[in-house]
Amino acid sequence: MKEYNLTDTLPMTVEEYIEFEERSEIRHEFIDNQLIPMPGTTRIHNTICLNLAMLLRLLLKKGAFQIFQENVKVQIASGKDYTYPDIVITNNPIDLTGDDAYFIKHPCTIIEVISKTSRIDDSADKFIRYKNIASLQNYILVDSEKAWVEVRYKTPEGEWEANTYFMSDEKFPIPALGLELKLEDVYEGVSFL
Amino acid sequence: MKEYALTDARPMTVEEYIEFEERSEIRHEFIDNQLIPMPGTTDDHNDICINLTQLLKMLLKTLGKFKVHQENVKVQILHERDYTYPDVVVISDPRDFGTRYIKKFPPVIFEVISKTTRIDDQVDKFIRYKNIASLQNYILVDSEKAWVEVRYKTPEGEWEANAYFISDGKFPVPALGLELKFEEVYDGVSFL
Repeated sequence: MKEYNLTDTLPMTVEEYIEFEERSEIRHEFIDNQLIPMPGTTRIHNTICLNLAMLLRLLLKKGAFQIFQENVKVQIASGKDYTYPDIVITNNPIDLTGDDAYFIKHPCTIIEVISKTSRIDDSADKFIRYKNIASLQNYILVDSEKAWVEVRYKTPEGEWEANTYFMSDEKFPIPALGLELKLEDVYEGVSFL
Repeated sequence: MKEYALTDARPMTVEEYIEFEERSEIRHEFIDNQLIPMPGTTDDHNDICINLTQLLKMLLKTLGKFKVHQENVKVQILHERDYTYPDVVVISDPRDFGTRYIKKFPPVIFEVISKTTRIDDQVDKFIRYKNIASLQNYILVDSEKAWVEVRYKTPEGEWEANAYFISDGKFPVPALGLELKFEEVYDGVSFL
């Protein structure tokens, strides 16, 4: 498929972005009326995403939380900034009603599975964008190249802090969801273990 | 010592910042004419900084064209606007050998991270450091667990990163053409 030519209809509106994405073979972020193509991922990346989504579905109470994987957009700033997190979880009534078929606006937890090429973007640039989401309590980086997890959490004072976890720690917490995940479950089926 | 009160006067200049820091009991960053106090650090943080500095000095000595500074030498990120103290900075540009207080062309910067600085060093400080055109490697060394992330600039000017565990034995500093051993970098820390 031909890349969207911005010069044709500059600037693109959010409505045009949604329509475009429905027909697009690849996913794009939408930042300040620009389309940014999102790269494909590895099998390990996909395995970890699936593991996370399945574990969270099992552990979270039905109805209170919804979990989405890779293909649902999060609105970071209305009309201006949209992306697809690897895993996004919401417990906000407005999101749960599903009135907005395309966006999550009030996620409590976002998980990104990182690799060599996405590591810095997910750690730095994307985090700076995600911090604009007032409802966000936890941002979790799961390394797809080594068993390592960083849990970033917002303190009651609104500051962000972080802890990291290795396989030897056995599990890591997701405070906003009130649960812990075992590293061996998250990395189940991954070849480097 | 009294904090410098910005309201007292016109914005502080870089020259006044340098002079102020000479007399200050704690270190400050200087960002857009503001003084930002830098926090104190733990014993493990200090051990790792000393280990890194010693190892680098030893390994680079034979090459002669590098200098290593630890914690108390300022780096200029943006002219007149952004200055900070990296934990460990390596200098190789002749233009930096002649200046006493401020280094402008570092190829390698290390930050030793802990719970409270982890996000700042990974996110905000990295975004500032990226403005230094000469910077080739930015290396994060975790002071709470043996973990190192090596961020490096590709020939295309993009930044990528690899992470290393103690089980890897060592990690590279590509801009210096050398590798450092985990057991030496983490020598003496409380958690190993």
